[in-house]
Amino acid sequence: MNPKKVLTAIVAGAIGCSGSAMALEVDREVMPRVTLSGRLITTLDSDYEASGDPGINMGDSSFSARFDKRMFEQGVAGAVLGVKENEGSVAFHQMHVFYWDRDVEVKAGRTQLPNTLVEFPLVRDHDITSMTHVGNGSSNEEFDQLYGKVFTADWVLDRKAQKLGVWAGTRRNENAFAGAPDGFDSYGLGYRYEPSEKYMYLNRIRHAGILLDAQKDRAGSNPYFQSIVAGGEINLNNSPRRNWSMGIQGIVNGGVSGVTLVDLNSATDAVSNRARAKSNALVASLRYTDRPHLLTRLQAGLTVGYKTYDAGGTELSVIPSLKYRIGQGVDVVAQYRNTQYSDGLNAVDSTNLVQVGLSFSLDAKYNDSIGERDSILNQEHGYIQ
Amino acid sequence: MSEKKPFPPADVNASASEESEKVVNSRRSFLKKAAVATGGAIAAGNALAANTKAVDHSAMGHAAMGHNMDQYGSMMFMQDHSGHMVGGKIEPPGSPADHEVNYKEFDIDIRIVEHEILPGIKAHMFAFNGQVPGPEFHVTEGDWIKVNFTNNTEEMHTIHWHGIILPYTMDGVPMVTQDPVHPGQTFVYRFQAKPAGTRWYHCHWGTPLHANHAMHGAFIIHKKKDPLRKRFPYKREYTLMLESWDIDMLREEMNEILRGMKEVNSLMAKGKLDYMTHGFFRNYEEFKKAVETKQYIAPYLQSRSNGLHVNPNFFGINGKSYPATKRLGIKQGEWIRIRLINASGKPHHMHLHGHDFWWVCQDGNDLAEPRHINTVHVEPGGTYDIMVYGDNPGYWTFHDHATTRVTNNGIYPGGMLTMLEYEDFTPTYTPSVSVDQ
Repeated sequence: MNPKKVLTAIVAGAIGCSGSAMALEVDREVMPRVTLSGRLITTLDSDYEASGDPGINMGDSSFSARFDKRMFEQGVAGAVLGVKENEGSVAFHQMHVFYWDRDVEVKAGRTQLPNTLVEFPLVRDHDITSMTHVGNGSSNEEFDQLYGKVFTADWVLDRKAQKLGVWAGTRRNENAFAGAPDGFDSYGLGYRYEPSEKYMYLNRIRHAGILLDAQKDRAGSNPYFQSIVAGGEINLNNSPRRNWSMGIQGIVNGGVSGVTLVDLNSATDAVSNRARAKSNALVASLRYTDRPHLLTRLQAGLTVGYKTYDAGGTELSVIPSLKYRIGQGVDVVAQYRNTQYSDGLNAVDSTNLVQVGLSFSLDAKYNDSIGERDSILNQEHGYIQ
Repeated sequence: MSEKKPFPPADVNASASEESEKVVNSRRSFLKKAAVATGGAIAAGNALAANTKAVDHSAMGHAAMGHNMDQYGSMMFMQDHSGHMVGGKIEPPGSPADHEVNYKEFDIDIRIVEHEILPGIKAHMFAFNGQVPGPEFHVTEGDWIKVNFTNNTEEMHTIHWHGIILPYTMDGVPMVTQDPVHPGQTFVYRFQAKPAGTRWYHCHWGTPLHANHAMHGAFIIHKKKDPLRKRFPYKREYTLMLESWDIDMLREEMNEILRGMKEVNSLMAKGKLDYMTHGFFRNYEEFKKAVETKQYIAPYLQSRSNGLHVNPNFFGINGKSYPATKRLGIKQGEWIRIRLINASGKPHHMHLHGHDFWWVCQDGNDLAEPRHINTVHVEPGGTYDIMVYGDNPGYWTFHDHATTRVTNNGIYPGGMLTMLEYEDFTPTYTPSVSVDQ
């Protein structure tokens, strides 16, 4: 790869937004592409926050604004600012700058942690986070299981679908444990096969990959503990009309030694302790998508997740879900979740949750003068800078 | 001046009939390539045709080449129709069979290319034989024309022969006169070249994107004796296709089309495509019922679309925007003929500096009385022929006087502008290039 190109990518990704005191003039004639995206989801839950009473749940609702501009020589740089519902308040889940071109994708700032590979057919991203994501040993907050401050760099090996990525980041939040490490506390690398979503119903493999994740423990001399994530999703019948697909992902967490069953049931630190514990998780799903006249109308999914801890205790979740599309981006959603616990991993051995609601999603682009790196034209008919 | 090389003029003295005598008469028809003026881009080779399989209409209740209009019809609504639409060669009735007349035969295809409009600006386009505009036909009135049109894209297409009087089955309007030409298929158009004049051809499928953004070309039918030559004794002629491109809409629409067509073609290959997926209906009543019963959610409904907004940001002549446009050459005392064809879907007002010219033809037909003007209004789809006499040596711009079309992405000058250059004078001021005023 051209060294100048690498330098441009790294600098663009690492520097971030300049402070206003340092800012050069901005030419108003060059409007960025603006992408507004987000989802507001509201469900009526039969068991709101394990209280045993029904309630209204707006969790996972978010809104992001993304700005892209073409560079003078090549590539595109920009920024994303996004807010998301977090335990009844609003928090920034996206606040990063990025650079991409035909060969690289770089971003730096607050965004998703690269700690999962498969999006399962669930109503919300965080429905079974403990099984679908590498946990955060430095925070008990649900938000911090999904988001962090990261620098990621992906090389697109074949300029199409194969990506080799590295990242460094900070998982802990402002309310860090005493003794938690400063600076970067997490590193990772991985290989992902990610064809454009334009081919999602046509290729046998929708996507697949393997990730290695290392994070410093919050305690003692801050030893690293590692996790391996492997998974993907395949089409079972390659039909864009009535599509069946299956997703599967496993996480092997090396953990730190000394985490006991008592720690896993800690009244205050159960979430982070479970992330620090030696464990194995496997999640599999079956997804059916009905698209009469190639217009998506219905998705039905069945997700099963199983996790076992070396210290004792297992979790087993079975989650059928349904999304019925009543308008573009507007879905009636329904989900049932049953989770079985063993060895006293939860106050009760079995929990049940029924959710019914409405999800409104938007993805609006304005002033699109850029296009996408992985568009069909760019990938099959010659790349246009 | 960045480039002084004039257009290669069409050699109007080498008529199509004369050319046809130079080639071997095979297959009882003439394989012609010399009559194509634009870079010889219509390949005479028939490898694609040879590799395609003929669709057996008789097996589906149709006559394959029976020329029986009662038995020819759409295959779109037949049970398991889609399996039959992959590949194949479609030869509709309506014109004489190959053995009945001497056809001049052309092979033309459609493919996706990266086309450079001007330095720094490229766009993917559907292009006839890979060029924008498509190859320029020059034939003689009365010639029998056979065009083997092969679709080498994943999208559907047709060819409409604009201004040519032909059997309706050759008119190229999808689902009105023929099924669209499916990916991999070859459709054979046969017709007689008439009437004479400046005609053109374009895709009639998804016209705002296909025809207006690249799938167009000139079809010039020469008279055996052109009466205009008596009054305007021209020897050189130029064909200028006037174009506009919204390259952002083009990129997004083409990507969306290809995404959808990959899915459509996948189902088609399995014989599982529902014809309504593409908005095909047997008749208005079936369509109305499907919409009213919500069986079909039409793509134009406000629940599915905000509409296709075409806002051209580049304008051009023969595939290029100024200063990449090619120049027109003229000599002192010479008459030249300029054929203007508006493929852009927008009106253009072509003005020539330093000269009055004679407007002699509209839509291919000679005007009863030529008009002496210096700005000609070229309506969308229309063709306008003008004669210019070389009596004012110099460099003279020729451009759309709707000046927002003389821009590149909003920056003046650019777009639909070229230059008339005298080839036989000594300039006192030599033009250079300016692109930011």
